[in-house]
Amino acid sequence: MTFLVAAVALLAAGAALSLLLAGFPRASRAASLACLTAGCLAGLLPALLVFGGGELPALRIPWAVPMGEILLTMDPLSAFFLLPVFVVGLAAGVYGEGYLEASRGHLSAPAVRFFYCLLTASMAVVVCAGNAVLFLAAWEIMALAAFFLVCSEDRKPEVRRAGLIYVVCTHTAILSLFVFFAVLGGRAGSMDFAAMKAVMPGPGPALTGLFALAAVGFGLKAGFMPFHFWLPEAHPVAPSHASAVLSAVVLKMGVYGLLRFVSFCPVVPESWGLALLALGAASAVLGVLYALVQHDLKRLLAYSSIENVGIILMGIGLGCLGLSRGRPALAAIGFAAALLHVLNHSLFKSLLFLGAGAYNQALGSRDIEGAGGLLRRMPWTSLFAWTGAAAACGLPPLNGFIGEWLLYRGLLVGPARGAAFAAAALALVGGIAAASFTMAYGALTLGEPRGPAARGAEDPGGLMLWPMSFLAAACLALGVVPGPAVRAAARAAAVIGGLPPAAAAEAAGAISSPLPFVGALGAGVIGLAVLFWIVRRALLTGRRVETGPTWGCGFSRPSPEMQYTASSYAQPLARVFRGLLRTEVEAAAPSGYWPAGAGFSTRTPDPVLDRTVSPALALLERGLTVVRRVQHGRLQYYLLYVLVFLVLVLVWKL
Amino acid sequence: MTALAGLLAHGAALLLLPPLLLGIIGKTKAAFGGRTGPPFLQPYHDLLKLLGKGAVYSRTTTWMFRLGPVLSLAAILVAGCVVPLAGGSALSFTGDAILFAYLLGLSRFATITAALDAGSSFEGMGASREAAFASLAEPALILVLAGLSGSSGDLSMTGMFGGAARWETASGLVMAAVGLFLVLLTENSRIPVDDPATHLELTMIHEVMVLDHGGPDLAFIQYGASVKLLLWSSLLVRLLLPDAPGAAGWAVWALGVVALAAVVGAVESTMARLKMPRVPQLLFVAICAAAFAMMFMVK
Repeated sequence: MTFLVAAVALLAAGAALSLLLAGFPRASRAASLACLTAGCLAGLLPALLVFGGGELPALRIPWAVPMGEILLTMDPLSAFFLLPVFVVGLAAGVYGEGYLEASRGHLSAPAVRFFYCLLTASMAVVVCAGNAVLFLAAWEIMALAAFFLVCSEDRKPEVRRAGLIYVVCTHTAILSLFVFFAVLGGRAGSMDFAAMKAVMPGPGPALTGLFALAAVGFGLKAGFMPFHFWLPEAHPVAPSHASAVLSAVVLKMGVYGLLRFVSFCPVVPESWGLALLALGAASAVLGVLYALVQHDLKRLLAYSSIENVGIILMGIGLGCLGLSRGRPALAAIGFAAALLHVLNHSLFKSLLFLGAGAYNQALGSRDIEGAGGLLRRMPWTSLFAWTGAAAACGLPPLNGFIGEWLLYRGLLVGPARGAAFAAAALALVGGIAAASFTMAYGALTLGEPRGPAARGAEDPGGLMLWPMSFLAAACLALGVVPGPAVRAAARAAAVIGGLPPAAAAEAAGAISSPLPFVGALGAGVIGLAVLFWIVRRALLTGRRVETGPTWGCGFSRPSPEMQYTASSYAQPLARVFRGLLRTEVEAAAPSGYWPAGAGFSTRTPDPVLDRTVSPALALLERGLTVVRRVQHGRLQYYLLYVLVFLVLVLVWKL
Repeated sequence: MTALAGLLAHGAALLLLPPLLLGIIGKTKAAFGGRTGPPFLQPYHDLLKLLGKGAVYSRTTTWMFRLGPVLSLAAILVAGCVVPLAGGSALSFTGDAILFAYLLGLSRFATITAALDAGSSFEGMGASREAAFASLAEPALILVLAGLSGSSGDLSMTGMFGGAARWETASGLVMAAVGLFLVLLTENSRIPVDDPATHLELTMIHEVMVLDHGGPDLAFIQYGASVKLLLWSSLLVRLLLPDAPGAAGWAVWALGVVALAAVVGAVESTMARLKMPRVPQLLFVAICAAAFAMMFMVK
């Protein structure tokens, strides 16, 4: 625990030093980088200690806040969530220094560093807090730090709009959590989590109400449908390393909250499991479909985060079903799949956002349609991004596969036909994810450049490349040697399900017994591919190997503009699902014998933000304008109002 | 000793048999057309000829283009380790069916990225269609797997495709076979989804993705495609035909696979390729058939 406190203190010191030394840019940078590195490494130690089988005593420090206490506890569940917080926090933080330097004054470096360190520290406290007041305080610091990171470039109107949407949503979430903890704390007479767990109500309206409050409060943070709508607005406009942490880790705090809540419940009604499973499947399918039709790279990644949160939610739903039906093995596999996907998604999504930041800086735009050919010009970034993209499609031998594989196992041996349909939805999601990521990756990095910005692009500096290489290596390592991570997830899953040690050990053994085969076959693919590469090289030595133009099917003057674009690539699937997507097309077809111009653009509004929330708010505003007629700025009428009011009061009192 | 012999037979069948299936399909099509057709062993000659050639690479391409054929073939062959031929698979564990589906996904991912690397609009078009149709075929496969795991209580390929046809759920079995056959046609780019013999690039899917590959690369791709055909055929054969120990089992299996290749050839000779926008409808039929199979089989 000392290490955890030291980590939080170091991160806070990094934040403070970044501001205090703002006048000396190099000192500020060196100090905050050193504090961040030391803090994240120190924070990882206790988490690894817990997975080694160690028990850490809780840390209690009195706090003047009423009913509050600085109570830090660490069970396997907290420890598991510390992994993404500190691993991604460190990688993205180091990258961030390179990113801030390369942004050439677009961003205020001391402020971004300050909020970044604060965000990382507050998340560490959120997952280890054992007292609701401390939890809420850390939660609010996290939300506000994230808000300021989103608004880093507040001169742009779209950034201000995104920030506003984000801050409204995050405060709705915390409002819901205030009520949730107030109700529980009132029953328990204490804000300690242990006391709250003891007074959880049995099945009935009270428990359902608490579940609804938790689902709204934590769901708005986790970003599953229909609570996702702030996410595709807020995540793209933040600096890329902050987007990486927002998508990869901050969303997972909502997942953590939900899991902690489930661990409180003595009984889990079956309807919760079914609801979460359905919500997760819907979130995953719609998230990936909307990712497919985006042209903005970071927006695409944000929608893909919604998809992955949906997959995590399916795991949680399956775990809840296992609990409600008294099948501990099923509960363990569901929760373990969810947790494993939390870790895996945090690694590959942060990698992809870091790659997106490098492309963004090289191109000066987030649009994928104008790029192309970057694999030749930015070889390292593109190699790492390729790893991330393949992991995001859930392909072996990378880490994304392991979590989905566990989830499939749970769903297929699972409770009933509904689970089989959820598995089919997961298969559809996997297929469309592969289409989305090959689309984005192909449009950005493969083929010929479609514009001057792409022609002149170059790899970023080492400070940005090394963190990406580390994350890519982690994605591969967890895919080939999945054992340790899966066992850690199984231990944390046992905490959520409240399984007795014997059942937990049995479930963990069943979960991880086929893993060596999966890892070995994954490694086998790599080995065979290398072997075939060597065979081909041996075959081709001494023969004629030529280069020529791409075969244009008889057309001799192809140009880069004739390449397939991302929109055309997505068209067959977008056509199949046009009823769900309702894409708006603006097309000006060429007309006449000598067409002067033509244009084509598509836009897919978000189903919740643009089609539900905004119209509803507009309707509300229109309703309220009726009342606003009395407020017109004419003093005489205001005096008249005062007189009328006084007369009314007089009449009433008579 | 028998285990070793079985493993060797598995490896030999997996590595040597696949091109023969293409020869059988070709011969069937020729017979329907009233021609003699190329000999059964023609695909082996074609592969050997391609392996003996040099190569021409497009100036646009990078290592991604060269990685496509080797990674794709490696993924397909590793997937072959978990597919039961006769008697069982080389390697069997809980959840290997999912690994099979995703290894084929990896092979597709490698082919698509290699195709996009050439920067040709034709190859982009093929890649786009491949990605779209594959993502619609995958739910059908998973639903069939869900049904089989529900009825056999096992989540390994060998257990699910145990060969002992469960005729007490005959209706489910028929539905599963229909779904699986449609997925087989889609995954292996056969008519009515894709026409491997067409000569117009605009109407192709798989062939247009590999337009720029030549020499040993093309040999890897075509060999990989034939292995994939064998794997899918084997699944369907194991679903429908009974298993027997030893040589009898191999004979039944080989007969089944050869007959299935002839059926694919017959479908190809008697049907036209569907219009591209109609293909998703065919795949929805596959998904529905698989869903019914699952409903019948899962109790």
